[in-house]
Amino acid sequence: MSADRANTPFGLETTREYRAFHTFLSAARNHRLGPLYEQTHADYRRTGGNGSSADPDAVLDVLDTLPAYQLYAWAMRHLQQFKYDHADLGIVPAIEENKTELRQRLRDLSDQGIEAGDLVLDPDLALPDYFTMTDFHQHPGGVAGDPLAGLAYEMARAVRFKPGADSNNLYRNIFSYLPKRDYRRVLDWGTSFGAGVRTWLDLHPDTEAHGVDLSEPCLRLAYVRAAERNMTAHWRQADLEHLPYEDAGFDLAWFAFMLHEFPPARFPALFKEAARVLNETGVFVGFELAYVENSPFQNALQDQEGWLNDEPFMPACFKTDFAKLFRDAGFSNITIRRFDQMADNVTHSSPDTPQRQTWNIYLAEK
Amino acid sequence: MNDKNEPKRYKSVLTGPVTTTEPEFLHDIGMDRMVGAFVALASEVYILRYRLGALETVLANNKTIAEDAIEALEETPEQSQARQDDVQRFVTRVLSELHRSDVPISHIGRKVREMTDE
Repeated sequence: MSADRANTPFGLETTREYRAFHTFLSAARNHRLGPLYEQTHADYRRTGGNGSSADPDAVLDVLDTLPAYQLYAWAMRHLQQFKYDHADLGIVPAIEENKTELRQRLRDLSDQGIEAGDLVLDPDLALPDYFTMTDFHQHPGGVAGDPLAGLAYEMARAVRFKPGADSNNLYRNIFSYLPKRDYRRVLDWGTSFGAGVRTWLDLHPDTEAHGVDLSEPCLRLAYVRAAERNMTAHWRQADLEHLPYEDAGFDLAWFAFMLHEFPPARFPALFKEAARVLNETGVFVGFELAYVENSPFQNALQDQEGWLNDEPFMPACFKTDFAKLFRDAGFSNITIRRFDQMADNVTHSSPDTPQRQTWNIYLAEK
Repeated sequence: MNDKNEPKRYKSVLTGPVTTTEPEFLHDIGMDRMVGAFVALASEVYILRYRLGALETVLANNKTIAEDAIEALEETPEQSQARQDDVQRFVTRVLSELHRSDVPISHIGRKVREMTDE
């Protein structure tokens, strides 16, 4: 395995063995999301789970005894560990083998962004404790722990969606919900490695796009990926509770799968800060996993996935009254509805089995 | 007698983040099913063996390789070393799972549990 050469996009040149291994893992994951989930549901119903119990513990009592669920739980936790950490084929050890060259190249390429003023890092930024204390989705060391953590996250995300699906389609789905307006200056709230910004600029190349995130490794990669596509965007490292932007400077801010990363106590300050940087007609839009009404089986399973995959704030996120939080933060026109387009991007069970996950899209206007 | 303030103990269901050691999930998968999976895996290995044998025969019949080319192969010291390295990686990948540490590869601080309340 060798690192990319200077004239190729930044990244890891993977071996055929690596690709075969991750192809297998992806198929195993799809088996969990399809047949294994269906079997878990069928066994749950057959063993006494009636699907309408109001007592979440009653669902857990049944799930706990099901061999299918036990395998589901094992697969949820351990296939992710295989993906990140397995011997020499996991993402982290594969990168580790080439880390010296990759770190140097990422630094060289992204320092060009710092010199140009397009990438602004904050070496004095105090990362919030919930962020430093949690290796989200079992990413060893977290998404800011290693200079190449952004690359590892990008490689992990590449195999997360169903085979053949365009992982950036979810951003186009979000943008399709926007009221028809002229959005000139926009902000990707929690941009990670910048996929949302690049998707936006593909659609609206003449606008000014910004991305903000806590993670320096992700932001350095975001700059490099945009530069590889000759895109100009503006990247800032900051805590979303203390955004480094003037009041009312943005027409739009969006987020994708971000809300479950925060302890619920942080939401009021986070949303007030988002409202502060949006102008008087500004729109805050994004999506997140959500509970299904009167579906304790799916909801228990979604809670379990939070615990199993080191997403410790996810169960609390499901129970949060976001409409109230948006109102309290200064948004007046708030729409929350099912985000069924997201289902196009993930693996399904059969139509006879209730959908494993659902999502809400949140649209809040000033 | 159960203490109502104590969280209920489950075998496989989790009631909070994993902050110390890896949980054990598989308690009730029967031996019949495990043997079924092993036999299925063995059948897949045999399918590969069958196709590899067929491929060797096709190559020999087409005179692409000599009939005894595989058995007669004498590796250079470098090739031999590469083969040794390969088998060591293979063994490590498989057997390391049997003695995988129960310390999670990702970390969640104990204090996070207090932050998870809605």
